[in-house]
Amino acid sequence: MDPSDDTTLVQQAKAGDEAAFAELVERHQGRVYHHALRLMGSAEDAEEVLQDTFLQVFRNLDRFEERSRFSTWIYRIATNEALMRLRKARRKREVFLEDAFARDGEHAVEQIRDFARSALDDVADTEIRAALDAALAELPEEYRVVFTMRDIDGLTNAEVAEVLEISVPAVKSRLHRSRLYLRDRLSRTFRDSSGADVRSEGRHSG
Amino acid sequence: MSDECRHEDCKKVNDLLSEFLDEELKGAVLLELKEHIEKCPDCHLNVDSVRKVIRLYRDATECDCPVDIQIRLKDVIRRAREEETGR
Ligand SMILES: [Zn+2]
Repeated sequence: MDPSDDTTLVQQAKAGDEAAFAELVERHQGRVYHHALRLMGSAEDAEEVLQDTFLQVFRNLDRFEERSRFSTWIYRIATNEALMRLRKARRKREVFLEDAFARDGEHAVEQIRDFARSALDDVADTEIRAALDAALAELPEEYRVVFTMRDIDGLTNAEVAEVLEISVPAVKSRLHRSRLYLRDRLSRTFRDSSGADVRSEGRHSG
Repeated sequence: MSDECRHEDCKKVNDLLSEFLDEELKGAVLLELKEHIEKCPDCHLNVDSVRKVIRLYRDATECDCPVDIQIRLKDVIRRAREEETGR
């Protein structure tokens, strides 16, 4: 069976096949969990989202009409669960948003040059991962969710638009700004962590 | 090259960078962009670094669920199933 095709399993699970449902959970729990983790930022919250997502899948499976892919449907549920919680927590990030994105198009070319050339070989994996997570966590959730689904989870623009109930141009615009922001942020981070060079002030600019 | 002397075309590349990377551009726009990127080091860099960021995120992504979390999830589903059949 094609592992990317859940259709058969979904039909079996709908008919009450417990093993088929368990297999669907097995297949999607990892992606749902990490998706939730990236959105929520805490393992505890992510686990809650994971559990509530699959409870909803369990309870509403017979209402899933198979017009979209099963994975898209799960994403929509998980994303809504996460966004609902985040909205309740009411994190005010609007100020940051304007601030961070106001610099669009004014990149510090030097930094980006260093970053694009570095193989990041001397940066430990854990350090890279921590930097990636930290940068992503700085994005406002409506951007973070788009970047996560599109560039990490590999959904299409149309699927993300469907999940978030926004237009495809809105998806593309958020994705674009997220990417530029993350690039600028990481360029700074990795330049700062690349050792002695940063401290020397003998460099002339221009 | 400083920011002040960035060309109109560089701005265009910056605006269309995502669509370029996602291979959503076609025809004259794509051709024009490609030509500029090839001869402009700043734009080359701009495109490369964003491509690199996307790759970094993709590669660093774990997709396994911690075992204890898997076990608790199974439990939650089992209880929901019992509740449903118990009714
Ligand atoms: Zn250029």
